[in-house]
Amino acid sequence: MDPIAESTESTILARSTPNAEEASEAVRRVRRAKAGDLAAYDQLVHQFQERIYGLCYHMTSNHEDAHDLAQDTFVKAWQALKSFKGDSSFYTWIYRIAVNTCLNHLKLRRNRTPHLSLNDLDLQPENHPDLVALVSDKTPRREANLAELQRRLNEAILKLSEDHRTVVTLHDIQGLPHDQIAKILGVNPGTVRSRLFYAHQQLQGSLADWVK
Amino acid sequence: MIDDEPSKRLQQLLRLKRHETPPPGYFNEFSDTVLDRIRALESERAIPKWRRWFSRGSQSSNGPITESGLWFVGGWNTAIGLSMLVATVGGLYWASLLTNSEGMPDNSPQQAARLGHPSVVAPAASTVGTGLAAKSMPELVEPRSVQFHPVTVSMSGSSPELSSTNPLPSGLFQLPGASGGGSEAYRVRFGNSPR
Repeated sequence: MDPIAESTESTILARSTPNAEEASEAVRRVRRAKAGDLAAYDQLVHQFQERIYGLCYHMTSNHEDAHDLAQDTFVKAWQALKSFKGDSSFYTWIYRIAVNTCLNHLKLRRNRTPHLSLNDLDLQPENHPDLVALVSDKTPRREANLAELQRRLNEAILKLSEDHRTVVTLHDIQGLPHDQIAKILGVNPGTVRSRLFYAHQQLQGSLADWVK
Repeated sequence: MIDDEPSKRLQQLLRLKRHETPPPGYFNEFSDTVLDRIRALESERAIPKWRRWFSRGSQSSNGPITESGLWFVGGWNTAIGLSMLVATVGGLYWASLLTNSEGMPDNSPQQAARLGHPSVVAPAASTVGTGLAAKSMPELVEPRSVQFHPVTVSMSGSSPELSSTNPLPSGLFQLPGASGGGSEAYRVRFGNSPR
């Protein structure tokens, strides 16, 4: 991989998966928040808001829905914080709440036509080496613009089943490892790999023009 | 697991989505909004359930809300609650009225009978043949008891004499002009009884 791309990836992955120091800091904040310290919970929200929002956005492809779902996630987590025993990390626990909140939302809105609001988002992929590679002469559709790529990509992801979309979001987009995803979803790591395999097959079919 | 070229390109494509982020400054307000919602929930939780119910009704009707956000007249929940209250109080009042006119002990038929009220005693003494006295309708009941006393008429001289066990004072009986001897049947009329 290109060194610049590798650097960008590592930054994103570092943001997606908390390191040991961040995890211990989260434990202290959780302890204070459980005692009713709202300022400590504010710090927890700051710590995880981008990741939780990202999960909700990639599950729904809608900014407004992602906003509401991410907020709901943190409010639910506060309400359930007293029941959090620390068997898993707060990171895993709040991710589980977010995934369940998104899945419930998708079930309720299953018949609604998804509204893509990418214009609301700040996408600056033109500087990203992956995208440069994709729109270079190696790609079959040189004339395609970024908006078309985004649209096709989102359509393909939205065609996935909710289970498959969840693992693709958590692994391919947010960079979580298989075992972490397994803990969040409460399934075996093998199940995660299996879902990823079938999801990739389906996506390759939907995005054949881009991946061949 | 996925090592071929299409798979790698797919993963590159999916990684592009990491760059889809909300507008700059979006997360500046995010946690404040979350905390506002939490504070609102906490303060709502401190309010008793029944007051919350009224409060929600007030808010759902888009009506004015007092500073405490709890009471105003005009919310549909409030209207329903007040209607139910009025209906309950009205029902209780009506029931008490009915009880007073029909079922109170000092007006009961049994109590009246014990006190010897004529409107109640009469039907008990003259139920034979009327059929109306069996009904407890005071306006249809004969107000006086009817008792019969044998009357003996004897002729001594030119004017008949009348004797009876009836305790009524003398002078209440009148004999029509009797002529001839022997025992005759006379219609005896009490002073105020209809002819």
